[in-house]
Amino acid sequence: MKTNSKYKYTQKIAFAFLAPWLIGVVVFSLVPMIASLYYSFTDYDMFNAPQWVGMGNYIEMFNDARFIQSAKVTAHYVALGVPLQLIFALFLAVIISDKIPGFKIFRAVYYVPSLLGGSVAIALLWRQVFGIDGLLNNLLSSLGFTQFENISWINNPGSAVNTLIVLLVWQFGSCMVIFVSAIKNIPDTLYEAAEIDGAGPVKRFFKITFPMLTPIIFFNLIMQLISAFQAFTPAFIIGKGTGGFRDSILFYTLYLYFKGFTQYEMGYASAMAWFLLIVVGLLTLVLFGTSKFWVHYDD
Amino acid sequence: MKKFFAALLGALMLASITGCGGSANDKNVSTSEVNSGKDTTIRMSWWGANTRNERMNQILDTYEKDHPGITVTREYTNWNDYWTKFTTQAATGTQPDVSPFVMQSIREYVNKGVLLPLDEYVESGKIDLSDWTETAKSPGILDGKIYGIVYALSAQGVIYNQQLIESVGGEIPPETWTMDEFVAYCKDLRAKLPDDVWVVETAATSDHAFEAYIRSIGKTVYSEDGKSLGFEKKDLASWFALWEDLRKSGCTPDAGESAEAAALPYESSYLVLGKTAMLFQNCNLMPTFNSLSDSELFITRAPSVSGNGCEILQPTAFGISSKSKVVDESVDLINYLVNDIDANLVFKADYGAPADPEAIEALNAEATKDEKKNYDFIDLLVKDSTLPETVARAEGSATIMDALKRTYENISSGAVDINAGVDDFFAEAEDVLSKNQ
Repeated sequence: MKTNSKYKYTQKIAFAFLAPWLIGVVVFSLVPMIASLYYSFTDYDMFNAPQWVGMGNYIEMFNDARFIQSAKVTAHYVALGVPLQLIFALFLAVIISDKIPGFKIFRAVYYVPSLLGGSVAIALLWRQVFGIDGLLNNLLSSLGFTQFENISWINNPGSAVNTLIVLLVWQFGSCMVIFVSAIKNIPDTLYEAAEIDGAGPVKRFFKITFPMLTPIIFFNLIMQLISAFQAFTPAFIIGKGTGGFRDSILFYTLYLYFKGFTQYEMGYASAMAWFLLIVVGLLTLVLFGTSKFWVHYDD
Repeated sequence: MKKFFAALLGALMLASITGCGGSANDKNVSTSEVNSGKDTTIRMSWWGANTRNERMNQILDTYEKDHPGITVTREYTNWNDYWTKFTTQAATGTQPDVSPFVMQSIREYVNKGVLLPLDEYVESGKIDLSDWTETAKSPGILDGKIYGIVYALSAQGVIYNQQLIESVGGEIPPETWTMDEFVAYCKDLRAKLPDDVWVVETAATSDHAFEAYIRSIGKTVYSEDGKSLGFEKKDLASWFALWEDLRKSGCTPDAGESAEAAALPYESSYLVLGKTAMLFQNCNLMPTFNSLSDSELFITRAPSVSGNGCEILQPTAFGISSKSKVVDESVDLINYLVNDIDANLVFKADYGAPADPEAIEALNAEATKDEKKNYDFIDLLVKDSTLPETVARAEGSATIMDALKRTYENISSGAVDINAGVDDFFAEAEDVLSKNQ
């Protein structure tokens, strides 16, 4: 009896401590999510009472040229940007996990872009780097490539997304830090044995480091994929909120924002949000499905 | 150690709980004071940069001092965030009591019942517009009712760098010009200017320049009921053809560079750096541009196909929320803002030339020559009897003007030809407008 009341008491304390978080989740996440699911089946415009339109918004999406453009742009960004970012992060992690002099400084320095990369200031900087009079063109012309002089990389439909991919890849720091700590956890004995058997550095990487890292690579892949699908700030700043030159950087989230807050089509915007959730969810499931073929858990 | 963290977390939580409680209490105090009639709070919002915020704050501080018991709480942000915030507030009925609007974009809010008609307050003289001209008053009227009290007028003209043009032996632009004269002038100046200086930045993507063009051929951008476009495909095609001609003859930059130039901040804009001789831009920016530019800039009228006035007097006007509980106080505040000479002298026409004739006179008396250019330009337009009235744009106009920009980008980069681009534009615009009731 006594233990029971004590149990109840401690349970109450536990809930009291959890309460701020629980209230936050319900008020700021759960309720808005359920509301947006409902709105996605309506023509809600923020002023008039929502009218039920069934699957109307979801069907309209596929007849909307700008929606399709935004999906294409985002797919390009994710499909190219995320793998490049991971490769780059892994490459640098392997280099600086060796005990080269000053490796701690390198680790800190390479992490800095990750802290800055999502910010407005860097997006503004990007406009300067890839503009007509930008850093890149000055560099190219000083190297003798004068044919690019009048190209504005961020206002050229062919290259605009790629400049944003460079920005994404540049934010490799957080992935790199995770890779470095994982590399440190690989037992040295494996490398010593391999060395005795005559394996070179490349072979050691592909036969030991890479397989041992696959769970971490998988983790980074999923996390970066999800955040890349939701990228918003760089395209919003660089494209001045309009999707850039000829919609070349009209990210999915940017178009969603435009629909919701410029055109007030909240129903349509909610449907877009749920469609994105479904697509990202499915992709994650597929990746989990493939993981048993290439991810090695040592247990 | 664990105990320490538990204690720390507990302390933080307590702090956040009391933090919330504190602010809630503050609110209660102020509402109860309102209810007891001792003190009144007016919520006011506006958009603007630092200079404007400082000036407006100074005006409101003075107003509070002269009106004991009145507090004006202020919400100000930049232009883009202002509208996002306002729309969200209006959707939940919590918009500020007093807010400025750009009258052309007011229709959506009037249709949605966000704004209070102000006719009775103007008739009773609580807002004193007795010495205002009809031209100054009319932009605040929609469907026969007054929804906005005009605070400032601005209009797009052609700003030009006189020194640059004269240094290459060019004529300075005339006081008025037809579209044909404008095109001929550009091509003539092209031959004289050095290769790295453009004649003019493209205005093909400018909503104001386009609307002025449509007005100058005697049409309107939207039909009166706002459900369709008021011009034909051939009108838009000739507008694009005109700017394509100027682009191909080297007067305006190419597609990508134009997009980039348009996004530059004022201090590094082509006009300020002397990389273009002319720019279609609003006259209220004359003091700003001149303070940044090495050589003196002047402004002249927008070119017109028919030769009649075609510029749009863009009014910034104050409106009152239909949900406001302090209407009388808000009315008095607006009356002060638009009519008080001292307040106008503090604000220095930052939104554009004031509509109140006395205020204009007082401002003119102590204006710098660049401020004067702004007032003179508006004065010229207000007195131009051929100038059509400013009409409110249809709902969905923001999307349609965005489509205009995208269409010209597609055309000027060679992705589509003019006719295909015009067809795309019409399809998108008609789809947006068909949703209007």
